[in-house]
Amino acid sequence: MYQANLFVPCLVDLALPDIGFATLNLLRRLGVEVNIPDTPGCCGQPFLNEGRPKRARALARGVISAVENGKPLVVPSGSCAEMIKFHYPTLFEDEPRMQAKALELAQRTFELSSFLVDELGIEGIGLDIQGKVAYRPSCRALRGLGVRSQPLALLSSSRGQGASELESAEACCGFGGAFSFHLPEVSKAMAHARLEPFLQSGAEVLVVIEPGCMTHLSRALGKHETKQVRHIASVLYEALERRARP
Amino acid sequence: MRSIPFRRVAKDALEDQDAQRLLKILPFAFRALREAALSELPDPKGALKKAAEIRADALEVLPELLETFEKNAKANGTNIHWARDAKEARLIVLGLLGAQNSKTVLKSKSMLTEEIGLREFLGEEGFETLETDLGEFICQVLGLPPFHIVGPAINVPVERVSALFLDMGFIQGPVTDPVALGVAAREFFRRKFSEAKVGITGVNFAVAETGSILGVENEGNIRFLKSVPKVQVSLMGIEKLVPTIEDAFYVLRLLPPSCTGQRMSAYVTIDSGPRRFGEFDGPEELHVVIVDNGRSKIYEDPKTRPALACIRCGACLNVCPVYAQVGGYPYGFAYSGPMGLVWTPMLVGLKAANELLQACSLCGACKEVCPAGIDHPMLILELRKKLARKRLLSLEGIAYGVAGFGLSGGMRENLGLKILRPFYNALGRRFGLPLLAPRRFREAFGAAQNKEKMP
Repeated sequence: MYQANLFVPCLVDLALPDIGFATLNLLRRLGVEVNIPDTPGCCGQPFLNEGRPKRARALARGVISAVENGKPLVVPSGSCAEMIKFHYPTLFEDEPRMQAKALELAQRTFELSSFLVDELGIEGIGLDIQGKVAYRPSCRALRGLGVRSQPLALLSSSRGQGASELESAEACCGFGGAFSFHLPEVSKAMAHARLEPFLQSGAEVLVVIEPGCMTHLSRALGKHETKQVRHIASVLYEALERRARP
Repeated sequence: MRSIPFRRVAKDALEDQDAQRLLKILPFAFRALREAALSELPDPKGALKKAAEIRADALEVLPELLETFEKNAKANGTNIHWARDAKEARLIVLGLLGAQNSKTVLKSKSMLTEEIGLREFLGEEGFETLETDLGEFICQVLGLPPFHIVGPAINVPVERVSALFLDMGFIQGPVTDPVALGVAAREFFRRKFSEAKVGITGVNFAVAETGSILGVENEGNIRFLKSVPKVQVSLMGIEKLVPTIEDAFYVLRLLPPSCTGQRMSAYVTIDSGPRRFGEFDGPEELHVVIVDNGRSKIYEDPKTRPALACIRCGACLNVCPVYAQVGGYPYGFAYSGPMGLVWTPMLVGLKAANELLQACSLCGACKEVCPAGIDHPMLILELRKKLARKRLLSLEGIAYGVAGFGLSGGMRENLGLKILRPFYNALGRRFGLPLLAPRRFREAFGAAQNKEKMP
């Protein structure tokens, strides 16, 4: 049986546990034996972003030593995955041994959708995704990890059309972690600007791969009669469940 | 310097209908033009890489390049002046003006002169400085800061320009054709050019090998300033050096596409010394003022040094989602957008730029388009790190300390979280932060695990 570690980002752990369970159950349903390692509650990204690399380094150390089992580390967040893959090695520039471990972990760290497509080879399995689906990439996953086609492939549906990318989808939604706290008005205006093409489109579900983008855009969208913003793990897991119980 | 009130000015910008209407179009138009212009190059990616390499290599040997430039420029008959800071630069210019019998100075657009507050200073000293770049001129008369480093008055509606020109007697009745307004302004500037004794310009590149300075423009005003006045004063930052004219052309090839989306600007002027015997035009005296103003300090730290590669094209502004929402005013200084976030804190001081440094969601769009290969997000992180060291005892410092401690625990639902949850959620509701779920995933998962294990 394929084994993998699941890293639960702090935002998922503390605020969006449903995404955690959706990811866990999705992986299990796809035949992956999931181990949830006892890592610190956060990958350290917020601290690095705010210029506090010492704190980030302490958390990174905890994550690295909790997943030394050599199995892939799957993260339902592009930015946490990017943090682990690209920033962990730079955090340990003065510690060659830790850096070597960080580089080894980087090799087997995957954002969820790229794990499913690039590692498990799941693609175009004809999920029955209800409602018209639109996808918007997340900055770190897109620019840092090069994740672009994988979520679209996963969302391609056997019935109805696949997911479409929205206009100006590559512009940041305005979350940016503490950015949304420091400049709430600008951050909110960015979210509303990004939602405009979604509201004008026929799509009912806007799928993102980043928990941060999800909460931020959901909040900006508010309670809408027909439209919602969802994380890819929830969408995929529900579609699989629906297929299993016709 | 006083702290830059980014948030307050940004709020105003979000409510400014004119600015919002423009911002819905401007960045996208610039980006489309840039992509079209770049696509005409045989190998756009290779060209970007080459330019970035030239800039990085030049910075590695910057001290030698500056020496070579000085030697060769002097051999051409150019006067070189070194200014340690803004004040010295202003005084050097003042001294050069004092030697001339004229109270009027003509100037072209230069972000460096904006940075050192030259126009305001000369005004206080009794000199009238006339901006000859149309956009800069409009900003000057209306008392506005630059909205965009390339198009400083691009946000001023044409009706407002028309009213202004009517007031100034450039036109007889209202005109809404931008070209006609440009022609009217040109008539006015032409008369001024012919009377000018001193012209002040900026510099896009300085070439060490030939001791030349190179300038890029579209309006022809710089060409006038370099041809007619008796004295030409050109100001440049120490970072503008490239080794050879060939290097300059490689980078130049990317400047107009990155800047205005043109294949090449309408004019490129290269000055290698003052007017020589038998030549028709050019200044009798050419002065180049090489300004440090904090740049050596940026240079000293290998982590911040790459910022000096910037060629002031503005491409990063046009892809920045924050700039696209608020425009240039909230940045509070000569430079805006991502390059402003990188440069301004190092020029005005980190504490004054505290709010400014938060104006980035680290999306990384800027880094992708930079022809100088600057990794803005990395530099912003570096500056935030330097700032955090200065603000250890701030409320934020403490909050991050507490959060870091709380998050360092593993799977356990700790008591701290139980106590903090309602307080955080009350705050979160007020500030629009993601709210904490009643039960964290790890706790719920642990409980489910235990259930499974039970017989």
